[in-house]
Amino acid sequence: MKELLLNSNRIGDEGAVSIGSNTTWTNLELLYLHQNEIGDKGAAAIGANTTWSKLKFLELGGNKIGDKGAISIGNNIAWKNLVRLTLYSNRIGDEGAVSIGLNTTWKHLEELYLWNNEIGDKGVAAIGTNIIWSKLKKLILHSNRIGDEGALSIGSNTTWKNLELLSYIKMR
Amino acid sequence: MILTQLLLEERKQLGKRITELWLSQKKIGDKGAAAIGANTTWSKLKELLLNSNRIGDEGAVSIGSNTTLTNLELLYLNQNEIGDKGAATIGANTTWSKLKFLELGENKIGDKGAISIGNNTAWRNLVRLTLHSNSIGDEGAVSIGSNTT
Repeated sequence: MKELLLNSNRIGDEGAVSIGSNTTWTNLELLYLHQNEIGDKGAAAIGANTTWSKLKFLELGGNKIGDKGAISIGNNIAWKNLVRLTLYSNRIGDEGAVSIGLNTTWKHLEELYLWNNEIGDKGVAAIGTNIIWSKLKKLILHSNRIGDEGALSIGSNTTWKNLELLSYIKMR
Repeated sequence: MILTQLLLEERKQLGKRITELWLSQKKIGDKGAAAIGANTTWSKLKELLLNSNRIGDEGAVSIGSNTTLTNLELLYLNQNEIGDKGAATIGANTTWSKLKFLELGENKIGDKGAISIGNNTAWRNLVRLTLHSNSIGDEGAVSIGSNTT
């Protein structure tokens, strides 16, 4: 299996845990689970997956994922080929964002969607200090709780030389 | 009489050579899909595109029950009106061992249909499975996640 599209269903934690626990799909490149009902438990299981080393596109936007789930995702060290990660419209706060910002595995990451969460300056500051995502093209952070401090960190990053789109408008 | 027999034979031979059947957006309903599913000639068919039609459970059951399409690699049934009964029959199919692409997004499939799909052990070559925009909950997702084929 290379591509599994399960977005826009009613999948919750139990289903996500089962998917995250799968060790068969060693060739998985694309997993769409956005617009479901996945919470921290499900996201944590997905983040803990070590089988999907070829994963390029992971879409988890529009769920119920909070810091615990985001921390697990940020801690993932298996997805060495990840190109796009979407976590928009969840419940991720600073702790989750810090974990994502500290990830050192996603060297091919080009698109990171974190808009419409609960991320504050601390979380964004950690993202701004990331020096691994040298291929980053799109960073979407609007509709969070970011102030000047967070903006300063993002603006100070010198790694993202390929950045094409930065969405940062303060909406809350 | 002889001419009719010759024409029928020619049609049969032609059917045996068909490798692609693209019938997307043709307003095909259950009756048409059932007739397609009942065909026993298209043994070389690789691609069957029936997406964006009006196919419901009856049509899907017929297609899922087909045992002739042993070379089928691509089956598009997305954007139809297939529910659990149709999806369950498709999931129970053991003929399509070469199936690579199965598109079932934007239908009316719930857990029962998804459980059957997740339980399928025949599709060893499946590369892409789309079930988005249905009504699948945890039970269905657990079955899919548990698939080891």
